[in-house]
Amino acid sequence: MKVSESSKIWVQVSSYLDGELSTREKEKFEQKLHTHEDLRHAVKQMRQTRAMIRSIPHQRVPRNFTLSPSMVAARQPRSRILVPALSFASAFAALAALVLVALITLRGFNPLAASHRSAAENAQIVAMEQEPTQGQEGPPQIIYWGGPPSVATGMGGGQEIVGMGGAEPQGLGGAPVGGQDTASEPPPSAFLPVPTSTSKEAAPQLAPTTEAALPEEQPAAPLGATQPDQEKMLAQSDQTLDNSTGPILGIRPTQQEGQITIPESEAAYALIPEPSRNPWIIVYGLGGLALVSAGAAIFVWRKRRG
Amino acid sequence: MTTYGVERPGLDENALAVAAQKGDLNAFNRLVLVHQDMAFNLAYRILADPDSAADATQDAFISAYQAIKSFRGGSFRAWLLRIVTNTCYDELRRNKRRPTVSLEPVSSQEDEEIENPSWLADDNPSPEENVESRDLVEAIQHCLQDLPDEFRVVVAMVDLEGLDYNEASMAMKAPLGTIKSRLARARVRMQDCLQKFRELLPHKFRLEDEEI
Repeated sequence: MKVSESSKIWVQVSSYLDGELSTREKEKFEQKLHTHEDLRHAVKQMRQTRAMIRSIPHQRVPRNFTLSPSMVAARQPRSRILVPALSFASAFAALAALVLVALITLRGFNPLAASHRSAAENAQIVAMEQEPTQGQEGPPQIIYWGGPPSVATGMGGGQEIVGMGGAEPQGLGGAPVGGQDTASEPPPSAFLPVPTSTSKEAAPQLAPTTEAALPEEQPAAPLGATQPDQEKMLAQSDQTLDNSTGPILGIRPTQQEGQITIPESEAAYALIPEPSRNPWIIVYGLGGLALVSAGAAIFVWRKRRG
Repeated sequence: MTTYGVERPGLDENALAVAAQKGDLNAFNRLVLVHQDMAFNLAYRILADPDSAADATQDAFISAYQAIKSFRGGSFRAWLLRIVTNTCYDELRRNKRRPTVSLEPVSSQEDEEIENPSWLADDNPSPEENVESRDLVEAIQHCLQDLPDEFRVVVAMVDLEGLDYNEASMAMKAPLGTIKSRLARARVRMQDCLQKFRELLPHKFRLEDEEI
């Protein structure tokens, strides 16, 4: 048996000398001792080494190490929460930043603008709707359905008029200029439904506002419509406008003409500087928080270790 | 190996520890008086410097008092030695990060100091030192310092402070098998190291048939 090649034998020898072998292990080990000269030599060597180590005299203590109240009070227990808290904050901020980066990259997620986007779009739409009233000059655009009328029409014209403003008293502007065929062009309001309660002066002001909506919302009577049908449509239109309580068919109340009204929340959103809506600002903030808290945790930890 | 670290009859360490947990500093100081020799010697064997060992021992006792509520019974000695060991490890790590700089004055005699750099001498003893010192204690201490920290601690605990394997296992927070293995390997290394100091060994420690 080569003792020097087996550390396991040395462990057994060491434990045997310290009396740390179990009874069974000790019996087996002593049987080996009888038959293996190398093992006996190893036991003798380690016994002498062990005795030499244990022969070292103990050092006398230089002083008493008893504690005084001032010594205990001078060093308060260190907070064990700070470093874990900073470490957790760092890890959480880093994780949140990663998740946010993934959301922004994969889905275009914008936590700042998401809740306001619909409102902003609505404000933009409202502004676009009001745009013609602010900047457009000159005569409004007139859209004819089914091509221009074959016969010139004047307000309160004859039997072949197309569109509104026919001979009937309910027609737009019918009363002042009705029956005059001398007008080569119809006035801007010629084909617009205007509330009958509206004053005669208000009619020309309304015309530009509603021109864009008119073709879609209130198309002129088809060419093939009969006179009774036209009268019926005009009557329905007048009745509807009499009950007007707000913008109908793109026509706003007279007192709100030319105004762009934006809800308060949308106005506040519009005042936010553009950069603050950038979602990467949050990512940068979280990344900075992670770095700062990690640095603080490392600093505190190193300071405590000396 | 002395026996002052062994619990004294009539001294109920657990009762004193319980009193210390309730804030009785005098009770804790009685425990300090019982174990301060053992604690200081362990620190000294680990740090190999009496001043550092004294500081580490004092710090360890303060730490032990502040952490006394974490003592759940069992061997108070093993619990205390674990704190002493950890304090010494902290000191060793601190020394490795900030190695001490010699305060040897830098002057016009610098050349002479370089020619006679006793404070820069290698730790390994020269042949002349072997012949001259003839000091077994220093030789053993030298071999102890050559051991890795964890080997040196287990030798100090078991061979110098008289802890059994279970107490050493508790004090070092290591499995029993690890303690056995470390101790055996440390003794083999000590044995090999001490062969270099054969001339210093008393006759009773010399093997009749050992080969150099």
